[in-house]
Amino acid sequence: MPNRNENLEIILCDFLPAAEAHEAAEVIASGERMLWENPAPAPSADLLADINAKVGAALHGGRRTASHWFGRVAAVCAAIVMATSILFLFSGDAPHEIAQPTLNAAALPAPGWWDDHVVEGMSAEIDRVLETMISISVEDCYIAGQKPEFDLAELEELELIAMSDDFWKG
Amino acid sequence: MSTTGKIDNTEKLNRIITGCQNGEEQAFSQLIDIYSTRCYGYFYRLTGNAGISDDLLSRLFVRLVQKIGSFKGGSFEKWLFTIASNIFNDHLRHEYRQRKLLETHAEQLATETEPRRSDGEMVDRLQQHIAKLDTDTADLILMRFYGELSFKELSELRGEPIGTTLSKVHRGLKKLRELMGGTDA
Repeated sequence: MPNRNENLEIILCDFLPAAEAHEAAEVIASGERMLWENPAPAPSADLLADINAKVGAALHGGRRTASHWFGRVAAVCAAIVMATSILFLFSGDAPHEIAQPTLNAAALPAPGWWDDHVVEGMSAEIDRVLETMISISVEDCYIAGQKPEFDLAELEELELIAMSDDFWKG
Repeated sequence: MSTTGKIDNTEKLNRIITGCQNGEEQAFSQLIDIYSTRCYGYFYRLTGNAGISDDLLSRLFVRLVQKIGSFKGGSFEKWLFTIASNIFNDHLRHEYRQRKLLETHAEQLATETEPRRSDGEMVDRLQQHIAKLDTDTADLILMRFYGELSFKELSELRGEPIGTTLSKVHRGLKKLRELMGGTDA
């Protein structure tokens, strides 16, 4: 029986008269003795090996996530560079008209080839590319043999879809 | 248990926890060795089902990998069994939702999957009687027993007055003892 360094009778005396506290302490002690004498089964060796493997995968998965973040940032930067290049390519006037970069970009006059509509369109395109990349990287977080970390509402929805499908299959 | 032995064990456990926090696989393996039997017993006595207990134990240790960094000292058992209890409650909610969905879509299917407690396993008498207790009381009794938690730790964990915890555990164990058919085990 575990030693919890507590005197049940003294604790119970705060709530019950001494005689009742003694009796209640006896009930608790004998109840716990009963649990001690009827042990639950132990986990199997296969289960423990499986858990060790899952823990190992989760640990390596965690490390991979850090490199994934780096990859994600790099990919986002690449997407921005590409989108900016496309913007220059399709915006009519050649880039030679661009003013030389200065330290204060805000002070630059708007170049002749600048078109607000094109810029808005390209910004929307960049946002769309970013969203796509984030959704792809969520799929990448899947650890082998494990469900991805969806929240409860998502899981519930997935279950509902799966059950509805089975139901209609008969 | 001698005081020196307890200190040695505490120091050993602290070293293992530090190893886990540094992401050492070997340290996690030691933690699994120390706590798997007690945590499995806790899940098994609550669910009465080996398959579900297997799943919950796996989930517990995988969640531990994610959460070990947030352990800031104090009673490790209290921290561990708080996570175990949350996992069990998640499981209950999941089962409840599943049952509701099944009831909504196909009543017949629901009755086929309802008896999940035993699933045809040999269930000992104690298990049958624990299943008769309300889930909250059974959770408290089993968390105290398998987590080796004091009433003070248990009441802090539950965020309720110690008198309430004492009363629930006392009432639950008294009922269990009566159901087992003896005034003293």
